[in-house]
Amino acid sequence: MPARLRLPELNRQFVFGLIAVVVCIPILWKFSFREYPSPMVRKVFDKVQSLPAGSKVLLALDYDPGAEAELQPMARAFLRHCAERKMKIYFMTLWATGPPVITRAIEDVLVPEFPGYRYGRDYVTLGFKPGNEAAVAIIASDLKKLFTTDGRGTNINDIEMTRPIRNIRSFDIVLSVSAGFPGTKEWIQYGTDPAGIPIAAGMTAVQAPLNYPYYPRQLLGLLGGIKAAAEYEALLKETYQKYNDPKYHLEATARMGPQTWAHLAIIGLIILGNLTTLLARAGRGRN
Amino acid sequence: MNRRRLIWAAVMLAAGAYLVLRIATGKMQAPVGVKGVGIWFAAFMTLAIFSFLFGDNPAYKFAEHLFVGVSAAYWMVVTFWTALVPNLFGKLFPDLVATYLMPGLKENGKAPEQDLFYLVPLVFGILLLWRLSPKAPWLSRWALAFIIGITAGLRLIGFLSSDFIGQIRNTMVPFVVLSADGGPLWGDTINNLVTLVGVTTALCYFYFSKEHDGVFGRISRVGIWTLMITFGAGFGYTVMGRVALLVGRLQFLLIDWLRLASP
Amino acid sequence: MRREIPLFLTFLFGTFFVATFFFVPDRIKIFTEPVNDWLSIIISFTYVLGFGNVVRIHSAKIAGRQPGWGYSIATLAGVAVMILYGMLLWIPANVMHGGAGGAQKGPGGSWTTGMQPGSVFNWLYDAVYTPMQSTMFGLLAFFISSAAFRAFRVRSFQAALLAVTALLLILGGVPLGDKVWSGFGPLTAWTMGILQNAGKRAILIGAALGAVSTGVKIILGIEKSYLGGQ
Repeated sequence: MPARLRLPELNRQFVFGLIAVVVCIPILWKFSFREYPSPMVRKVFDKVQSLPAGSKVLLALDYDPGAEAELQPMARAFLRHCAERKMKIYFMTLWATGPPVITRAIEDVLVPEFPGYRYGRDYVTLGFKPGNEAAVAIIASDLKKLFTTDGRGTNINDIEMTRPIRNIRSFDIVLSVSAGFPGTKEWIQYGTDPAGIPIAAGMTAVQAPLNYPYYPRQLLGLLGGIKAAAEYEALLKETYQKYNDPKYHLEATARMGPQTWAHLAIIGLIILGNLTTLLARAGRGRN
Repeated sequence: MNRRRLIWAAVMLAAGAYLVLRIATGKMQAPVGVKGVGIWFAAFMTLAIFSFLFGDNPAYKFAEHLFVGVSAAYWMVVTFWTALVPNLFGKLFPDLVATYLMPGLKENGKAPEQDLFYLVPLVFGILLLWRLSPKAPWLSRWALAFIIGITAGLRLIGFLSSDFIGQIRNTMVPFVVLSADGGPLWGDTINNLVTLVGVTTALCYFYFSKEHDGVFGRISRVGIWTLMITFGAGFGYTVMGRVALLVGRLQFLLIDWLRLASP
Repeated sequence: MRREIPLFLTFLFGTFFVATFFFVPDRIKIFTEPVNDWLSIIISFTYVLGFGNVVRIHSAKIAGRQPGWGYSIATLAGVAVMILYGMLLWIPANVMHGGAGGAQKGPGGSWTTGMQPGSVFNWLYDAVYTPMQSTMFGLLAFFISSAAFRAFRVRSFQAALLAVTALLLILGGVPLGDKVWSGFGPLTAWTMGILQNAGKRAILIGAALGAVSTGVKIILGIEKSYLGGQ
């Protein structure tokens, strides 16, 4: 059946075009859906919600622009929640490409939405350090051996909120947002698991299945991909009414429109692909 | 000029005219000023990479090569300022570094004390860079051995405790879960049984020292089913991830660059 | 010299880390801290090495007029601008202003040196690095869709399990599934948390054993491919 054999080649450009169209149209004409938070996302949210004001949070943003579309909404949601709970936030990254990602998160959320948050008193960015798992191992034993200054070049002992920090045990929780190596896995293996510190994580959808085995004993909960970020935003809206105001742009929720149509298109393609196989098989049977 | 090129030229001209019209009517940012040039350059780079969908082409190759140069230099510069200056040179030459490069190294106005133990990583670092030298590049192996040795030791411990023992501990769950009043919790019990069966059968499939036939073969076949479900879930999540990244890029083109909709 | 010393160093440091974890008291364990710190510094040198390699390879390509040498000019131009504004102009600016070089204007007056927002270095990160890297990954959505259509065929029971799980998770990855059936969310969560988790856990246990045995082989000098030839 030559027509069937040519089908994949014929449809390659068609598939590309279809995906582009189904993503573009909902971006231009906004479609949105109501989110139903899953128990896993709710568990992470409840844990953060349960921490008292002034708790110390290590927010590790271990990703680069390649994963920013997926993880920045998650980082922003974590950041909003921590700031709402008046926690002390310590940013850091194990990725060289991470510092601008941290800056963007601070400038997009903390500066405009929480003007009372002051650098050095309420949040600090420790910046990037190389070393991968070795860097995590040093943080687990003596953070100041690695970080002699913060990300802005100020001595770590001259900053109010970093002065009392000794190692990973000085934090009440680690929130890891990661796109791969080094990331959540290394934080668990060399940081939180040996130290017995709670860790919750947000990660790319590709990473999520790889980190499920650590749940629930070694990992409090995980947010996998943009859908989980949208669910976390839904919980923020549910808990803090101000986020229902459209001026607070909830990125992950806005992305679920194009995301939904693209998923439907891909499901359609899988079904179509199988139908062609079935029809071809039926045709061969008749012949 | 063949027909294909003619069509492409016409498409490019039409797109160019559309962009000029939008700029002229003030509907999108002109490529002027730091921000304007930045957005236009980013849009050009985005389109250059997307052009790979139609096959390898000069725009893609240019973007790819520029990316390599920018990223190699970016990583080096960031590492220099965030690791080498404060953590190495700051330890070896604290006064010099604190006075001229990083005043933040001073604590209460005083530079830290010199630590000559940091000559060790300096020597190993120089040995590593020796790889670029035409003479005796094998000296870099000494530094490589240092990295490999520590990483092997660290990973051995990390994987053994958190992954091997940790995962076995996570799987050692009660066959029957009882509630506080002593009655069985069926949901949790089934979950635990499914986990136990899934992990055990999949591990059997990975055991290649015995022929996969008879009872063992049937067990390992259940293991394959478990793994198929795992791979299917991985594919499903990968689709979600890749689409999310595409949505992000198209949002940049349609909203940030072309301004066809509000954020 | 060429192989014995590296093998000895690998053995020494590898054994040191394993031994300190298992056998020795905390007062010895603290020696791992500086060694870890040294490692993070030496890893920093690998970035310098990578940079040096890129410059060397592309310079040679241009010098030898090898095929595609014109594109190598773009690579070296990117390198030059980043290094110029991130290091060459910034170091003297820092030295002149007692470490406050990041806030100083560059020679053009409007572009600042250093890595902070508003610098040329940061501009290139935003205008070149960010769009290109994210588009590279975004591009994969097209190819994964095409693969879903062409390769995702149900030809056996195993393939059916794979396809059904994938379809379930693709639909579960958007809010539409919950709209269609309220049990969809819990079913997706159960599949991820229990079914796929079981397989992934077995893979993790196997991979951990692999990592441990590779580690032992490296430390004992049985596995030495990292030394390369000669």
